Amino acid sequence: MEGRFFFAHHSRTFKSRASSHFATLYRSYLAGKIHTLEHTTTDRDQLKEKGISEENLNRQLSIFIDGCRPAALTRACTIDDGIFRLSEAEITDYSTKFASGSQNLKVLKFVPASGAASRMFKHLHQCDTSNPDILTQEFLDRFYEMPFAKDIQAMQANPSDDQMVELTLEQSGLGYATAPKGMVLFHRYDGQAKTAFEEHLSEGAQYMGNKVCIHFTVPEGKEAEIGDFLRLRSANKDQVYDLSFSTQRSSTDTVAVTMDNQPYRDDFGKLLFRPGGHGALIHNLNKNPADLIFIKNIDNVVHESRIEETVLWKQVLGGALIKYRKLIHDFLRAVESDKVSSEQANSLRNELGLGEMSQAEMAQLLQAPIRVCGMVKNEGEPGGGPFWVKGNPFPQVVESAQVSNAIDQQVIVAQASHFNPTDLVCCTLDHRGIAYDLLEFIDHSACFISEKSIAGTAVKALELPGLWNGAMANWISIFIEVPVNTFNPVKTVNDLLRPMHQPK
Amino acid sequence: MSAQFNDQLFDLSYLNQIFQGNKDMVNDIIKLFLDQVPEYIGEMVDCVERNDLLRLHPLAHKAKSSIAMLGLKNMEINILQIEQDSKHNRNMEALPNLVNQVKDECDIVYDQLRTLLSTSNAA
Repeated sequence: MEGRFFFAHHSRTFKSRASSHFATLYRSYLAGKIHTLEHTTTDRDQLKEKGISEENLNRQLSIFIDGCRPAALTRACTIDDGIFRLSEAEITDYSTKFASGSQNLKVLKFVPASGAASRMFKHLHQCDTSNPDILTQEFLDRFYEMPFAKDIQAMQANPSDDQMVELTLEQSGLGYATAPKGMVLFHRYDGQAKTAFEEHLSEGAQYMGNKVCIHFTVPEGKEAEIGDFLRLRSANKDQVYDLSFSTQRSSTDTVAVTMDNQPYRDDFGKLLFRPGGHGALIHNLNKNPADLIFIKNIDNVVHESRIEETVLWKQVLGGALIKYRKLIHDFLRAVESDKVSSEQANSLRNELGLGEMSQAEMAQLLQAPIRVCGMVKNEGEPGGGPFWVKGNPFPQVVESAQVSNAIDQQVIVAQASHFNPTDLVCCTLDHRGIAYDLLEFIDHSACFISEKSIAGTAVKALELPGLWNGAMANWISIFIEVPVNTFNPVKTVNDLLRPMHQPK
Repeated sequence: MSAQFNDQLFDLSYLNQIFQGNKDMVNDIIKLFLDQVPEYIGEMVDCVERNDLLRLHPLAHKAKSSIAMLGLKNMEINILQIEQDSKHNRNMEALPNLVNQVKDECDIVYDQLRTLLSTSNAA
């Protein structure tokens, strides 16, 4: 049986391609070209403390020298070419499928919430309230519509402009300048306001049934504080909440280098490591396998009075995943028991838009986690978008930083009709219910280098392959158009004044 | 200089078609062309001067898609020829002349594109 051979391991067709960049680096190493650091005792202690191997560090330094491989875009995904636009009947069908099909499945919501709120209040940090910029002026003019205004009024009944800013940011007030983003009050209700964390609990309860399992990634050292707060707030509800927390592992941090690719060292001669971006969270996701995992950013959650459309599209995406999961897993089980028919293989090939390939090749390709991602019509929002990438049979989410500035590539970027709102649902278990090792499905070459400033000095930082970009490059990907109303990120505090964050 | 160079050498039909006539987007691409292609062609001329003709093909490869996007048909044929011959180490004696032809034509295209952009900005 040809297909059975491929079930021996979760071996991957793309794994070899994904690691080809490192193969190149390894060859460079053998040729003596790789950057090797003269490790001091301090370096070794530092690496040991962070859980980073010397080999890993040298590999990172080599990437700075060799550069990251840009994504090879072939075309932008459009409706019927990488993105499904659902009919009314399909929307009903998928939401029904989710309601009936999710009962016996392990359903989890995974919320990346490791970030601090500092960027949300960036314009207030150095504002001059006597000569405010536009965003600060709006903040001051509409301060009493902010969900946290009452809390500040409890401290200062009639705050001046300066006090509004100070009591919002400083520890003497709400301390939002350094608070985790999820702990910021997002929405007003009669008599109280709720944080972004609490709103994710409410949203989850709307489509996850009586047992609401949510995993939050949170800033280091904040697990206990956030856990205690949410357990208190979720007690005595109709649903049972199963909440868990993790932090971004320091072993996924990446080294910073000077502009001429030498390791940056601080005044004490220590190497500088920075968080490697949201791609590091693939380790956290890997430790939380489930049949259906809804992934959505902490800041993208609406006021409960306006949640209906969001919930419907969660159910639709979940129902679509249930459908594709069944088709793919049924096929893999049939291959394994030597009972696959050509009709079944052809039907699945058509459903997934796969080209000509043998059953064995299909079986190998489809032994992978599955994701169904919402895609929103492009309205000029920055961020990643859906593209076809050379050599990959499934559409990909590619960030602009991953694309070279070659004209043909920029023309493709400019043609993108949709963007990625980071609203996806995935299945990380195989057809036997065994968890995939998600680390095997990363395209390690999909990293990118960004420029940062450390104490006024320009340095280069290495971003790991993004969680929904390179970290899921070798997953089975299905993109579905979702309404723009389901995408309501809070990037600045003023976004809380938008209608979707206000009571109806 | 050949008489044909008095005519407009580029053809924006393809870019106008894919950007549905959006002038700003087409102009952005022209600016990218003016940022990138002179550098590639300059490096190709350096290779010829150093008689380092085997290094021409990666540069020709980089310039190729930009040249095609702007409908520079004659130049596209030459740049393809340079890429292939340099890559396969053949007809090497013809390469300096081909590179010079591309460079001469590019110099005129740059002027024409800069004029187009300044007219477009003034409009």
